[in-house]
Amino acid sequence: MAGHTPEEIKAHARNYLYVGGLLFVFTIITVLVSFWESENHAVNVAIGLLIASFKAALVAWVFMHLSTDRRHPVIKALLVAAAIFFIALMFLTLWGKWNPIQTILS
Amino acid sequence: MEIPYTVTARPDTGLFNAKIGIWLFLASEVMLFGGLFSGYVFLRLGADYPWPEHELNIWPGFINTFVLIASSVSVVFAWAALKLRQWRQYTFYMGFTLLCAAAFCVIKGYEYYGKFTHQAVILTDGTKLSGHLKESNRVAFEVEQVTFNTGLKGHGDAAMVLEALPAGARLVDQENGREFSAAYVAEVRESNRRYEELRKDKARLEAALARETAADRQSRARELEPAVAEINRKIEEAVAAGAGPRPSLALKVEGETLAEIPPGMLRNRAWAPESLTLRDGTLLGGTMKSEESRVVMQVDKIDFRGLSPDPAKFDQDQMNRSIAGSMAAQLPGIRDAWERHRAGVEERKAAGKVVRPNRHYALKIDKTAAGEYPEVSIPREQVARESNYTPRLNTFYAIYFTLTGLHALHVIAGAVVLGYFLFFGRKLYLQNPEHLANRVEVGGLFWHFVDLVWIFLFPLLYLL
Repeated sequence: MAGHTPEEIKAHARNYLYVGGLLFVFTIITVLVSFWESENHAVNVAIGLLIASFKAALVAWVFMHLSTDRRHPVIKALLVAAAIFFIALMFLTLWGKWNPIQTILS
Repeated sequence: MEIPYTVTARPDTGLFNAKIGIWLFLASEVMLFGGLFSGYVFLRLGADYPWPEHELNIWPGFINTFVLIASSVSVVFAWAALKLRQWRQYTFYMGFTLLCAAAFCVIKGYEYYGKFTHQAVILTDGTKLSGHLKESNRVAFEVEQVTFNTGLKGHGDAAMVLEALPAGARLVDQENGREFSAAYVAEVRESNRRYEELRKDKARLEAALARETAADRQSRARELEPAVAEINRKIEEAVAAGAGPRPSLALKVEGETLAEIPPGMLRNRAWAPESLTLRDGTLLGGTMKSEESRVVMQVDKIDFRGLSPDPAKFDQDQMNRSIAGSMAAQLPGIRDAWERHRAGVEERKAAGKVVRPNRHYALKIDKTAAGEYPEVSIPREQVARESNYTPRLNTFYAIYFTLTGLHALHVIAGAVVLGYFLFFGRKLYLQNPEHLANRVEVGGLFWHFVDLVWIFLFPLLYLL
């Protein structure tokens, strides 16, 4: 695999620690921010999810080696397929609330 | 059998096989958790009461986040150590990872235990009292009659009613004087089944007869008539022999009649002064012993969100008129709690801060001078339902336990796999260290995914 020679691994080890530290810091930020209540709670949810997405991206990018592996055609295909289905899943509630009959009648 | 491409990349895919395998599996895991997250969104957007925010104690979730991040770092170090052929460092980092997994499970167990031993009582006006129920929580009921639903399709087991009634009670079928037992229920059900079969035969024959008559085929119709007569005779015989449709049995209770029934055995909102319904639908008629049936609870929190749909309109008047408000004499702290609560809300408003519905509704009760939470005694008629803090309490706890429970299972499964690499990996390491490194990489990918799921679960369930 690219980027996995002994020298590179030694060089990466420091990155892993930095990323771990970043994850700690952002966890604390998430908690602190959640105590600030915005007028519209959706803003709080959006901020919380944004930070969580950033943390998740860090984990995937560095720990799961996607920074290099994502270019691999097979992994890329799997990631794209999973992403498409995941996005579709997240919209299930919206689709559930959509009422085509009402649209026709109005 | 030799599994190919465990170390070198397969020429056509360019990856060693396990790596494709794990990414396929992780893609399917994304679907699994995605479906559940989608379910969470659906429940939250569809909830007809303010969704609990900041309801859970943040600390266990917060610490567990740190534990999982630390384990993610250490598992990637374990892999790096293998790549550099440093066995001792590998065992150290992997051991640390497993320690983190164990810590996560212990903290989760502590958290779950707290929920399982904490109760909520929801009153008929919608107020929710949280706290600890006295162990003597029973519905005392003088049972006179029992209506047992035999059902035509196996519904209703004799076991529940027999368990609900005192050991010295005798149940007698009012129709024929026979004693009620599991065997008797089976007998009645069998006779119901036979009757039902005969009735179906009869219906079929009669339909055929009507068809032939309508089509004006008199001779065919006449051929059918004896069969109809025959089935009618059979039904009469069967009824005379005691068979017959008995969807329910009316039973009289003799001997010891005072039952002490745990509320978990009763249907929600199914208690009235003169009747109780067991969870299997069996109806008990008689008299409730009001005094002995009271719900005694140490209250630590009162939540009024079920009382008033509009948090802004929720005021002291409304609280005073509520059932919990009428308990002020028993809950000496409730007035103070209210004052403090109100002052807190006003202060936030004055400071220009937003007051979320959850803040409007929740009233924390202080411990009394004796260091215990005040005890209230509630008449059973005022209790709509009660539950531990388990999935059945409400949709929030249902999705909370589903998501965290499934996640905890992933932690356990991951720990088993990584533990195998640690404790049984030495032999493979000596044979082919790269193979073990690849295995650890793949196991690590799963472990990072478990961490990744928690990164979303923690804010969604504990903070937002």
